[in-house]
Amino acid sequence: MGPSAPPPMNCSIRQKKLSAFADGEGSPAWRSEMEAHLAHCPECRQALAALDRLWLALEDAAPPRLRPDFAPAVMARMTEASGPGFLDWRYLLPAMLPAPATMAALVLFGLFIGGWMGQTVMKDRLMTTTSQEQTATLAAMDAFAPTPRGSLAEGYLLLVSTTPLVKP
Amino acid sequence: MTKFLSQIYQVVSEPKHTVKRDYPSLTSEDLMLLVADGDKSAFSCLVNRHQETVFRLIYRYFGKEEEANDLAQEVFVRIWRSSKKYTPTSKFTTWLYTLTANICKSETRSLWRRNIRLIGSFWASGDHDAPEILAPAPSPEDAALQAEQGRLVRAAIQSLPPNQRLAVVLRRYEELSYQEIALIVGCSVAAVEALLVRARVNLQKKLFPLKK
Repeated sequence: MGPSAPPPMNCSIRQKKLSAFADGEGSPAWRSEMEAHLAHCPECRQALAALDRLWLALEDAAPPRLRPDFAPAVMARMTEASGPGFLDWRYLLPAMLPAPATMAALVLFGLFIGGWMGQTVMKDRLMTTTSQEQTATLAAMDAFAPTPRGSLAEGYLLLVSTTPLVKP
Repeated sequence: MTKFLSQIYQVVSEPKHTVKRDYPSLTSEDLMLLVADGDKSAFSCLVNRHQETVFRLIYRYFGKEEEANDLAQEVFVRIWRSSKKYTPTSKFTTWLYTLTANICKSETRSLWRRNIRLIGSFWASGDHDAPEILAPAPSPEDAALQAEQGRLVRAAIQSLPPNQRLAVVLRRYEELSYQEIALIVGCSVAAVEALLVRARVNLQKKLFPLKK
């Protein structure tokens, strides 16, 4: 292929690749191929020029300004956040340990006090209460006896047991 | 409760950095490792070193100075909070850009959720006849032209879909390679190429509507 003959091309595909070419991407071999094509293709040269023009147009004449107190404000917010991984349970766990430990200690103390009171202070009172309760229960159970107290059956039995037998 | 916990955390986990370091001479990756250890001076150095970059990226993405300042602060607070997750295997700037890009994208989504209609939402990508909704230009003639051009450019960039917008900002203003952009956006190099081709076509239509 002579230097004057344009290389085989498909301009619609090449124009899509022009963006990467304009950005300096691609292998040296591919770039050389594109350069060779551009040398012979005014349409692609025009498209490349349009891309360059567009990139130039994106230049912002007035660069944005950062707040002068930006860094101090970040440091202040960072202190509020308190530590790396704040709100992450792995980092919160050491900080939260005192609370469950205190709760567990309180529960154990409560159980101990409860047990001790049950064994000493409340023992007699509990015993009394128990015997009274037992009496009441037995009295209530009397309703189910074959001859409940105060019933006709009890009266009959009483009568039978106290009346002497009449001898014929 | 949270404040109380944070105070306890500070007391319990405050590392004692007694070694005097020449922070500005350290690389960002080394500073980040110190930050992960809770070194506030290293963090301060990191903020000073990268604040402009983060701010610029967000500003180019949203086109609003006030919003960019607030979100840039948010980026650094997140860096502080997630410093433990940083692995020195990746380049710090790539990690920083990725974090910033994610915040930009999530902020875009939350803006949509809050039904705040950005210019881009009125002005759908590829729509030739859509009106350009811009703030009125200032009156001084010389500044007005520049300001107008700046506004047009920002509005055009904001009219792009999030990934195209991000690719344009990272390529045009931050001058990152396609490989780096692919890492930040989370796609292939070929996808970045396609994003930039489409973005350029859309920007051409917005900025040079009469030219073929």
